[in-house]
This record gives sequence, structure tokens and C-alpha cells, in this order.
Amino acid sequence: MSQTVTWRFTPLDTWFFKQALAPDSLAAQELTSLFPPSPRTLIGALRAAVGEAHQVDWKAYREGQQPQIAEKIGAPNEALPPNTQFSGVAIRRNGQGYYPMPLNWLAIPAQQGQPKGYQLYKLLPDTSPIHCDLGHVCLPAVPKDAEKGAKPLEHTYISSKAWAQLQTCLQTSAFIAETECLKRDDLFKSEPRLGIARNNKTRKTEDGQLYQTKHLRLAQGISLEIDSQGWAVESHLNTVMLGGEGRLAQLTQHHTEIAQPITLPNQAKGLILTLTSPAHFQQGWIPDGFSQTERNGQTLWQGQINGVELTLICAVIGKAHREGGWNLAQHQSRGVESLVPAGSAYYFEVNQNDINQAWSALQNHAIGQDTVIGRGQFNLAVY
Amino acid sequence: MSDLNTHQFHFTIGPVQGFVAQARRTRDFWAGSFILSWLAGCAMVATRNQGGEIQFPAPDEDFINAIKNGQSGPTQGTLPNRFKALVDAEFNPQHVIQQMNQAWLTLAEKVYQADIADKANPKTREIWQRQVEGFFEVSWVMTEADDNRPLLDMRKNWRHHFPHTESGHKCSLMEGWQELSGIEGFYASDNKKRKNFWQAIQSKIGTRDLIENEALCALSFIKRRFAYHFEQVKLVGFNGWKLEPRNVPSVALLAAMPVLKSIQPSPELEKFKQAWSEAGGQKGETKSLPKALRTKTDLGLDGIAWFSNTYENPTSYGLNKEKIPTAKQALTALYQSQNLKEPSPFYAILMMDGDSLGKQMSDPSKQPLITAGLNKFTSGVKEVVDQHDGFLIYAGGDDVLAILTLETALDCAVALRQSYIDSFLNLTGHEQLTTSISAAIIYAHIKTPLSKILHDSHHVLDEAAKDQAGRDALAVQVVKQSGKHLLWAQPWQQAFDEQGALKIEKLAKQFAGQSTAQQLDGDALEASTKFFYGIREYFNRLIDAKKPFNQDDAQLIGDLLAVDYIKSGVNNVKEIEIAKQRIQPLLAQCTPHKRNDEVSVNRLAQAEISVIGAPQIDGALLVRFLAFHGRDIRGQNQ
Repeated sequence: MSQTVTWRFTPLDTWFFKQALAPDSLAAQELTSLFPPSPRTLIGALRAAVGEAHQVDWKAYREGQQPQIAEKIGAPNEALPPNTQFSGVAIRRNGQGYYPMPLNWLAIPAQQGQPKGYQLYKLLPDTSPIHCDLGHVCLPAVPKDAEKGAKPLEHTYISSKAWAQLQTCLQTSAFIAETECLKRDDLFKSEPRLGIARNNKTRKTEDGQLYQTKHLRLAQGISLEIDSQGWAVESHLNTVMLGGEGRLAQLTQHHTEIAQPITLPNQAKGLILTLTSPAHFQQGWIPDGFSQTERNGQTLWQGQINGVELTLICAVIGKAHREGGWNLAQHQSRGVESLVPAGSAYYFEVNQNDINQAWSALQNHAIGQDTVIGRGQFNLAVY
Repeated sequence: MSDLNTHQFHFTIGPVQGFVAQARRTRDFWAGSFILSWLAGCAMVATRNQGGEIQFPAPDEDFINAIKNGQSGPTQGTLPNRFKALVDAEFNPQHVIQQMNQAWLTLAEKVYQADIADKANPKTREIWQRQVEGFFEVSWVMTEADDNRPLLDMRKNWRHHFPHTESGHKCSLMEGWQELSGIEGFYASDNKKRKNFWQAIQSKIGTRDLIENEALCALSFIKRRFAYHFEQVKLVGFNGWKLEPRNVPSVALLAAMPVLKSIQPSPELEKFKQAWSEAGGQKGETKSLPKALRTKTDLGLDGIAWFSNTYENPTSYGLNKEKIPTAKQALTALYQSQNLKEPSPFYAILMMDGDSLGKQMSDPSKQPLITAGLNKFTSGVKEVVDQHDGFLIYAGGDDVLAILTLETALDCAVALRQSYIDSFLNLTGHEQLTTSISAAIIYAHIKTPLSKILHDSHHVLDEAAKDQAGRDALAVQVVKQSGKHLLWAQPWQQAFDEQGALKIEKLAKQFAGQSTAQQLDGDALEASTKFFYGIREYFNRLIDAKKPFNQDDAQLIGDLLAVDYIKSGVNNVKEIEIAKQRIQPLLAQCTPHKRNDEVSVNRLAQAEISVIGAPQIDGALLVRFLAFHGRDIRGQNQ
């Protein structure tokens, strides 16, 4: 098995990852920046850097005349180096990894006089099915003893330590300290910018070409990472241009630490699959290969992941994550796709295998489409 | 309640933010809100058609009757995007969804046939269908009537709406949606074809509704144009009615309103109107002006006409370069002849939301009270907003959204809060309820993108007024062209003085020199601008964000500011104790407070208010902003 390499992008400037709005919006719109960027953005920056290191002639490469470059960074229409698996995008602060906050834990800030942090309550499948537009389903319910006012912690990441605590938690409540959380303000500050488009042929600006953007200035210690497996890069890459307007990032390579396996707690009834990166399914929110069925008047979805037969009984799904991008080779924008957002949680009953086997078989797996660029990664938890 | 109605039906339609707030103009904003209200109303009518009784909220019957009968109806959205009904066991929710969808598809088709069809290519039709059919997310739940679980909230934790992939060139207004030409490439030849497509549409519908280089998706296009065709929607029991597309004031017109009120008919005014017209300037939204202004004189020019900045960049506004100097001179002459200043370029968005109503609705015994109170409140909102020269975008349930002038927004928020409290006070059993309402006001420069302001307003309301100040609170943000200038929040209780006036407004008036110390019971604050900037200096220097702020720190800052106040030289105060008294109200408004207890308004006096941090400059900046109406110290627009 080839080695996993972690590529760490540290900002040397502001960054800008443009939202999918027409660029000629006459300054009446402000083009905001997405965060984190799509994995394709980081992969594209890496491929471009490797190409530059090999003194690529981009026009010849696009016309298929530089096969030796295509071997290293992939063909222009493939957008991926051959035989390479990516995973990420991950957020790090001072070396510590952070995951998107699971949406199936609702939070309420700790009261004054208590340690700073959040009291969390786990949504669980309700005891009886409810007739709704999804069928007769057990909707996710707040535990009866939960404090009123608990709500999802939006735009928040939690440390791997806090995540590990939630993964094996069979209780319906937990506490995480504020120091284990990264809120949006901890990650970056927005910087409004005014730009003017230029005609590259005449090198002049024209009337009506003003535009407003909102760049991101990442906080000290924040970096982005993406892992690659199976990609042999001999070149030393130091700085790369990243995202819109080609802003600089320092690039360093690291060897990935192997995470300690987590032991499944006894008494677990079922598994919760929580997405740590957006997933792309062919049927919207329903995992690929799963189909709707009925059992005693209850609507369920059955299918398998990595050979494990599973029954989906409930889900906590966030608003669709819409992601597009720019296809440099074809000089046009990528289709904006609807992805199931990171943090969404699927509650499964395990059918044939016992839960321990399922727990083992589903580790380090990914689901849905485009897993090769890091889509559909998940962590397992229990209920 | 009918004995047969043994079940409850909950309905919701969205996305609200994704549809309403992605707006370039106030008219886009109003249109999104109106269409959502109309669709929710169609669902209510369809529910009643099956014998259902709308239980919460009590619908605006004028709106419902207009849907049923057509002819005439309200011009503002008044129906929330979710409702609860009592229904019988045979009730079929799918029929409700089908009928509502039919109404939406009919409206969309009216717009398409009238404005797009003869300019469309096959791709246009495909995009239109895909976007129109796949945009709205509708969820419903139906169970026995005595089921007290928070059903719709539970359902909304499981999102199921994943719109189709959108390729090609994107809409100028709504993120991630393909524009309607369907020309996907980005080479010069593609750009030319795309431009030709939109120029053909523009030549048909006019430059007022489609500016140069705008390329819209189906949803943005419907928002922009539906008002012209709404009256043509005629289904059995689901109708549109006549709307006046131009009755929504632009943000520029709202910003100009305080000065327009002072303009008198005169030869200079006639000369300016003539010059504006000759320069290619457009008429504005005359019908959107307050009645008093409409009848006084014809001031319904495009709102941008009243700002000198417009004349610096005529091509951006489609004005004639040669004629523009004459128009500018005429405007200057008009202002001079009537001793008026150019209007401040700031307007206000007001967003209000009842506190903790969702929580209280989970108690069935409180539901009739809440319904009655909200019904009373909602029916009076438009009148209050009109009285304050504003334009109501939406009032339904416990939500209010309005656009106002810089000068009237605070007073309007206070009046609406009082109206909310009064709406509940006379109801038997009101003491069981938490009947308070929080407000967010965003003062924005007319050149700040509207979608950004609308996006911000939710954060200001939820995070500053509700979370930070503890509900029953007011939060104000000022957004200048350069970005966020200040964010200030206080519980209403902390914001009011004993007479029920807003302390921050009173301080602003004092600072602006509109009142004297004697007139204001001897506690007036007369100080120089330099003194205000000195406050920032002290806060930066003396407050350590990493350490808790204590009483000693507060005293030190108070003492130093008192000395500076005496030194500022614009007041007659010589004694340190008097100086301390004078600046105390300002310091209090700079100090963040939070309500620690949720209590009903009639027990408001018992609410515990506590200091939650060190003083912040934002309170002082707000005083200064209000005092100068967003202008700089020389009275110039920024």
C-alpha cells in the first residue's frame, strides 16, 4: 500500500474561493468567498504547481501534446493525477485537526458560572413513526430531558478529541469545552475588496467592470490540508497559487499520522454514520444503493456499504451544500451540484453482521460519488 | 373546531432566505416575500378546500379572499411560510401540494409566455422548467390532533431537497443557478451570443427591469417580472390580482425621503426636473412615496437623482454625459434655494421577531392566545410603518420586515414594539406568555449590495439582539461602503429612559446640538467630535480583552473621560463630578448588557439586566452616526 502524503496549505496572503454568481455583477453584488474550498480547488493548485515545476507548456498540454506531464498530473479533461486517491479538505489549527460539528448534536451555551462551553443533546430516532412527506418515518427527536432552546452549532468545527468523545457516547447529552471548538470568527476575517476587470488584449479597463469581492484572511495558525495516496511527486513544491485571483499559499508535505482505532462501546444498538466531508449521492440525500421499503408500517431504506447490510431508519440532514467551480481545461464553469453537507448523520440498524463486524468493516471507507476526490468520508458513532 | 377534525396538519415551504434575500433591488426583495406568502396562502386555501381549519397562525383573510376571488388584494406578504391546520383523518396532504404547485407553475408560465417565449432557444425552455419545478422545498407532517411533539421542527432536521445540477454561466442575482440563455462557454463568441440573448429580452421589457449585463435565472426573472403578470393567474379558486410593479421604493428614494419632505414647489424644482429628464434620467416610484408627498408635488424621480454622486458616474446610470453638468447644477441650485443639504445616503432595514414564540407554541393551552395576539399585531403593522414613511415588505405571524428612512427607523421599531405588547395585553390569560419582541436595524449606504444587508440583518437579530442581549432587545448595525462600521445591542429595558424614549437617540440629539443642557434637565452632553474619538483611544488602551472588566476599570475610564470632557472646551462644565454625571449615560450605552431572565412584559420590571463585558466604542459611534445622519464632520456624504 502506497504512502499517504498530507499536503498542507498555509496562507501567505488573503484567499478567495468565489461563490457561483456571475462575475459581471456590476458591483451591485458582492462576490463572497466559500470556506472551506472544494477539494478540486486544492487538487487543481497542486496539479498546477507540479506542472509548473516540470516547466509545462499549458497550451500544448491542453492540446494533448505533453503526455509526460499528463502522466504526472492527469490529462486535461480528467482533473486528477492517475491512480490517486485524495481525502480532505481538513482544517487544522496549530497542528490539531478539526471536524465539522455533527448536526445530530444540538447545543446550548453553558450558563454563567459554569466552565465555558456547550451542553450538547443528541437527536435520536423517535419511538413511533410519523406520517409526513417522507413516508411513515421515525423523525429525529430531542431527548426529553434536554434544556429548551438547544440548536445546531452552525459554522463550527470541533477538535478530533471532542469528536472522539461524541463517537463513543451512548448518553444523550455531553459537554464540550469552548476551547475544543472553532467558530467562523476563529478561522478567518473577511476583507472587502474592490476590483476592476481588465481586457487582456488591450490591457485596459473599461466602464462598468467594477466588482466587489470579500476575501478571507485566515487566522494565525489555521491551515488547510488534503491527503493523497498513490501520487508520486518528486518535485519540491514550496509555494502555490490558490483559488480565485491566484493568491499565494505555502505548501508543506507531511506524513499522515495513523489514527488510533476506537473501540466500539458495549450496549450500542446501532451505528450513526456522520459525514466529515460533503457526499454526492445520485438520489439527493439517500445513500447510493439504498432503496425505500416498509416494515410494520414504517418507512425504511435498505442497502449495503462495503458489503455490510444496513437499514436506514432515521437521518439528520443539513441544507444542501451547493458546490461548483471552474474547469480550467474546458474554460467553463463546472456544474453546481447539490451535496449532502458534512455533519449530516445517518442512523442505521445493522442487519446480518453483528455490530462489531460492521463497525470494523465501515472504518476508513467513503460513500457516494467522487470518493476519489474525498467526497463522502465519514466517522462512525453509536446510539 | 369540527368534531371530525381529529388530526393536525403542518405545512412549510422554503427556502425563505434563498428566495427572498438574494435581491439586487428592493423590488426583488418585496417580490420574493410576496410570492412566498401567496404560495403559502394557496396551500391554506387548498387545506380549507378539504375541510381543514387553519389553526395557527390566523391567516389574513383579505389575502385568502384575494386568492380565492382575484380582483383586488393586499400588496404586501402577510402569510408566513408555515402553518398548522386541524383536518380529518381522510385529509390528503398531497392534494394541497399539487394545488399549490399548480398555482406556482401557472404564475411562472404567465411570465415565460409574456416575456421570454418568443426570444427563447430550446435550452432556455429546459432551464426554465428545471428551475421552476425544482426550486421550492415543501415539507408536511400529519398526526393525531393531541400529538404535542414539535413535529415540524423534527421534520426540518431531515432535509430532503437537493436541487438539480446547474451548469454554465450563472445568474447575476441568485447564487448557483444557471442564467436563461443556456450559452455555456466563456469565450468571446459565447459572451456575444449571451449578450445578444439578454439584449433581445431587454428591448422587450425595458431597461428599468433588466440593466445592462444582467443575466438572470428563471427564479430571479420571475421575481423581477411577476408583478406585471400576476393578475393573469386565473385557476379555479387560486387567483392573482392587480399589483403595481412600481410601488416599491428604491433604497435611494428612501434615503432621500427626509429631504424630499422639505422640498417645496418652486421654479428651481421645475428646472431640475426638466434637466434630469433631458439627461436621460428616469421617473421613479411615485406611488411609493408617502401620501403627503405624493399630493404635495411630483417628486417621483428615480431616487438616485437626488444624490450628487450619481452625476460623477453618469454612464453607470445610463445618463447623457453632455447633459449631466446642467442637471447637477440644477440640483445644487435647488438645494441652495431652499436651504437644504443633500440627503444622507443611508436608509434602514428593520427586522423584528417575537421572542420564544416557538417554545410557547408547544403548549397547546397558549396557542389560541398567541394566535389572537399576533393577529391583532399583524393587522396594524402596515399603518405604523406608513406613519414612519417606510415601506412594509412583510408582516406575518411575529415577523416584521420593513425598509425605512434613517430618521424614522428607531421610532418605528419603538412604536411596533409597543403595538406588539398592546396586542397581547388585553387578552385574558396574557400573563402566561412571554410577549416581548426583538428588533434589528441595519443602517446601510445605498451603494452597499442589498443582498449583503439582508443577509446581515438575520445575524444582527439572532446573534446580537437575541443571543448577546438576551431577547426583548434592540440591535443596530451600520454598514458603510467600506464595510461594517459598528454593531450595538441593548435590552429594550436598558435602551429606554424613564419617559420611554431611546437614550441613544437622546444622546445623538444632544451631540448634534439640537438641545441645550437646560432643556434636557441639566444632563445634556455637549462635547466635541475629538472627545468622541478620544473614547476609542481610552477603550483601546485601558481595556484588556483577556482580563475580566471590573468596577475599578470602569471608574478609571469614567474619571479620565470626565477630565477630557471638561477639556473639550465646548461646554461650561468645570467640576469633575458634574462631568462624570454628564458622560455616564453615554458610557452606559457603550456597555453591553444582557437580560438574564425571560419574563412577560407585565413583569418586565423584574427582569434582571447585567453587564456582560467591558465598554465598547460602538455605542459612541452610533451616537455620532445618528447625530450627523451618517455624514462626516463637515456635513459631507461619505
